[in-house]
Amino acid sequence: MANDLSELIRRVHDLYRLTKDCREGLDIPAVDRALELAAMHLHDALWVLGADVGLNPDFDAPSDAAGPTTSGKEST
Amino acid sequence: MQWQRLRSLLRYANERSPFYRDLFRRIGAEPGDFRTLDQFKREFPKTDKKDFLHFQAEQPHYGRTLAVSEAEISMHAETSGSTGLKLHIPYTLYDTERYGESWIYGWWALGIRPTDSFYFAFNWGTFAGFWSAYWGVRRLGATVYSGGGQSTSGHIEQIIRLKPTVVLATPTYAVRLAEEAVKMGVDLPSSAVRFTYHAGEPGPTALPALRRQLEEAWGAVAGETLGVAELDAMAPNCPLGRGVHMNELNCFSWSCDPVDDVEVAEGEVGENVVTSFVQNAQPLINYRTHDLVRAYHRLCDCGRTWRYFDGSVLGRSDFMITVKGTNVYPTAVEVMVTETPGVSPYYQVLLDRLPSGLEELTVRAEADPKLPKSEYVPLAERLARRLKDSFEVRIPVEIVDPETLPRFELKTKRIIDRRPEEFRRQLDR
Repeated sequence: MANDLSELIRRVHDLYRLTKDCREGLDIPAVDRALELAAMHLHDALWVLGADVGLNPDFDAPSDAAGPTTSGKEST
Repeated sequence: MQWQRLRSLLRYANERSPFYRDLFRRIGAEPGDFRTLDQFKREFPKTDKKDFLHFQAEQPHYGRTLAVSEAEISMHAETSGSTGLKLHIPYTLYDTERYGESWIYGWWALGIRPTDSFYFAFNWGTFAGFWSAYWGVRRLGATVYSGGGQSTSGHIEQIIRLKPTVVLATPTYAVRLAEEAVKMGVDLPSSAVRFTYHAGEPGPTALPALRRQLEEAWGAVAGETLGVAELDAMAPNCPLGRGVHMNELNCFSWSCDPVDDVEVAEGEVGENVVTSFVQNAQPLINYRTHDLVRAYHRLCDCGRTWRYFDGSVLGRSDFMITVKGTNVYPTAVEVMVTETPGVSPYYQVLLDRLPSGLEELTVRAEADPKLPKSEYVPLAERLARRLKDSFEVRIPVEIVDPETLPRFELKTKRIIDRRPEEFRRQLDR
């Protein structure tokens, strides 16, 4: 799995969503904080993997960018 | 990928930061109106440190530029105020994670791994530089040894006792530590230190003579990261040692002509303009760094594709001076001084305005302690001749006795601007 990037991104994305879902209505501060940090790190993993995620876990709608640029410097 | 990230950042800044909301309104545009990176570079207004200083002075601590509530700020840092006012820099916890990650790219390129241990020859305080390196060491999974509160000899004693494999310090202070070690009879090359790593001043990438000096004194590999406190530890050293690469995971950058603001061609000297994806607390978009770089965007021999700055930062657009009709970068003068045998690492570049209105540079350098006094004048003449040959302008040189110029633990003040305030730009005051 580790060599299949798109599958890895899909699975990390699942974990990320699940972690955020678990926080909804949660009333145990220590656990809520642990899950908040977990979501932050999973978002970071998606970021490093180059997934189309927003800037941070609090603003994580995928980009609506249609795409290409003319400079040729759009990708890393 | 950078385009996706930039689009997300533009929407974020417009929604969360009053400063950027006003900016979009002022230019009559929405984030979605920017369709290409080229259009963004041409049409999005450049931001500058002075904008942020202005808003911070108007409404402490951060003014209208914040994009988060103050409760979400995890860390506050400040610049040294070398340009006059201290810039307040807020970071969210996530900002500190990504900022820390940026350091790791430079370390990893040199061979530093989670099994290494880092000694911070640094007294903490509010200076962002090595705090962000601390975030990086934590993230890397390596060991932190704090040198906070120690004297120079205390650092040496700790380095010998704790056996770190990496020492973090400004380049000048690493030289100072090595001098102190010699006085103490400590042989640093036989210590556990395998790497010295630097930031905050022109380092081993920009100044080859400094690299030689550091590597000989420590018996270790010297590396550096080019950072801007408010932006990111944004450009780790290329492992080939002659330049740095912009971290394109966390930044989008391009080079513009500092006078007419248009993009300069690859390989031409231009000012590095950066958009950081790391700074969520206080977004910095199309931000003028005033760093003059010669950039290439192609596959490097080291295997990296990230934008490459040959020789790191060559000078400052806000400190480029015209000496008798010739543009001179003080950093380039520094390179020449450090390459001259007989001169110690302690020197000053003095900038004056003559009654005629012309500006003049003078180099004042300490002689190497082994140099007899009778050699001072010939050395000054030799260095002045080299400077004249390089810059085609006469730069007077004054050689002074060893240990007469001031020593600094953090940013060394080597460029002394003695021009009247009214003849300086705001950020040079």
